[in-house]
Amino acid sequence: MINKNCQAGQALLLVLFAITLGLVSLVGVSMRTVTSTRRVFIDNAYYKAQAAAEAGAEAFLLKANRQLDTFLDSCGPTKLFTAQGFVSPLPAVCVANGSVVEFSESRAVVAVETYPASGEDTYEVSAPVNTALGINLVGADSGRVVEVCWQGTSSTSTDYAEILAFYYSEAGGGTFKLTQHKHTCYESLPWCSSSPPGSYSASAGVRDSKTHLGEYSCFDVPMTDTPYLLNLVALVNGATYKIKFAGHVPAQGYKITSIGEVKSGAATGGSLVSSSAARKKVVVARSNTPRLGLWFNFAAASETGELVAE
Amino acid sequence: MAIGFLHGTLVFSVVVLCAAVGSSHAYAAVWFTTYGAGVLSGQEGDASIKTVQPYFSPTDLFKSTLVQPGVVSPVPTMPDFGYGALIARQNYDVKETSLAGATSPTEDAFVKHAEGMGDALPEYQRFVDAATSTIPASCNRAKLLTACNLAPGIYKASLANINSSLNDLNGQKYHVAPNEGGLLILVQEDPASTGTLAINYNVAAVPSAGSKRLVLVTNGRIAIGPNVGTAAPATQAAYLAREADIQAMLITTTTSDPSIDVLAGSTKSVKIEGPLIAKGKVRFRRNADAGIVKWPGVFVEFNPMYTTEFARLDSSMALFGPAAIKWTYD
Repeated sequence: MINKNCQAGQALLLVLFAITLGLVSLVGVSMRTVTSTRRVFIDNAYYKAQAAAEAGAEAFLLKANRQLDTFLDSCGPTKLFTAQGFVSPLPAVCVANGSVVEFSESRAVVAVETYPASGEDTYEVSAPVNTALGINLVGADSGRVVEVCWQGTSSTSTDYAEILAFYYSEAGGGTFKLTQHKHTCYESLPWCSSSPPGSYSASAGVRDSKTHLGEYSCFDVPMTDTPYLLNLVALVNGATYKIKFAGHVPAQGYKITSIGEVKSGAATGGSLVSSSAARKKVVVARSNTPRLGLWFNFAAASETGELVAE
Repeated sequence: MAIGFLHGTLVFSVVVLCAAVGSSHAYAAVWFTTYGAGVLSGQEGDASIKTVQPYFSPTDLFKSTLVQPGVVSPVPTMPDFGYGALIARQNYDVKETSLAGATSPTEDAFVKHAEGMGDALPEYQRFVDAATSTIPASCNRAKLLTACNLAPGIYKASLANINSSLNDLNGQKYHVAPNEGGLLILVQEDPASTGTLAINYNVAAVPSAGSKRLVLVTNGRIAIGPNVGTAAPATQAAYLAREADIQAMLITTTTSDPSIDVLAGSTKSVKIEGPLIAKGKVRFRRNADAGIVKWPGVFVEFNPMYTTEFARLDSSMALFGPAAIKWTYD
């Protein structure tokens, strides 16, 4: 009798233990599911906010300079953003102008300012090999120089690093001028060859750069008449540039700041509005000079064909 | 009587001899040259830039080089990059003929091989999309350049209308209305067309147009006919000083062979304002042999106005598009 009671008690204990184990497992699985759902939600919000920010920036990259100019004065970052988030309410003029880019579950607020920033005299930019980099000189002070410092990748013995500078100015009376210069890199820099190859001697118009700024080789472009445009073409090497102005610094482009945010109630899993997980920022700097290409600096040019008298 | 006859014969013989000697100096070959800027070819393979220049004496204004130094004082010593550069993707073949008739490479301003072009011409459709200026309904579309007084802007027109308008320049100059901007751009609106944009007469702007200029953009071939050009003027200095026969910029995005063709058929020398831009081959077939004086079949004079105006135009049109400098995330 006692044995039967003991066996029943043991069975009950086993059942209770099994039930407890099952419940604990169930709770664990449940909590894991909730956590996973929450994480997926946060991930989704993160990507939605990121996507919104990028889409806002892309939308503004497509705008022409004159359109972007309309945002400069009244719709800069300080007018739209604070440390806590978006300014509320957002300035009506910016909303009317298109600073807010709406999507179904998210939105982006986009601010525009000039580049380089006010007070800065140096413009830093890079360009791929054999491409023409346009530098805006409108408003630059005639009679002064613009200092171009550039750094190429390592040269080979046969590919001496050189750079072509095409300076465009208006000479008045509807006439325009092109002044061309060619420069070699500063000889002592490690990425520059020790001396120009013989075929590119001084008699071939080579002008060796005599100054450098750290690892950058520098030369001056004198600005005459009314400065308009400087095209730089680094041959053989891609290059990074530091371009320093004396006097007035012409705007070189636009700094576009786009902040994407998930809208309230956009998804289940709880609200993340105003949290850092649901707001992402993208900044893109864009040139204000068109990428005309090499062709516009030559009297006759073909992209893929020959030029032949026959 | 007999003495007179002998004297006459002698004079005639001297004249014939001089003429023969003079004609022996004539350069009966096809050649071209540029002024104000250089030449660029992105073709893979040999001889992407090819021309044989005539011999010029050191005192001549013209030089045997492909890129002319032009009127500067003192007389320049070639080469100097300041006059322009020759950039070839691989090889080039620019030679000069010596007095003895042999050829040797010229000492041109600056020659460089560039392994591949980092830039690409804009897709043709971008020009078409950017052509948003409206041709007035009252305008005779067969006379776009002479009867419509179009203002600077980018216009679409059919190839037939562009060709008709160019043919209407027979004895006339093109008009550009006084307005903001400097370029009147005509874009062929039927990109599938395989026709040729034909320039059969000189393309010059009326004086009131000032520095405003015409730009022709096509997806097909451009042919410059034998009527285009001018008989050579008296001196080389006069040649350099005269207005261009084609005061227009030509752009074609076709890779047809050739993309731009300056046809033979006359001895007129053609002076064209550059940049002259093609995606495919550019062929100069004009032989402007004028006897003792040697003139280029084609002379491309770079006009910086086109580059500056295209840059200015793009501020509002975003035709070429800017380069994104850098992206940062936070």
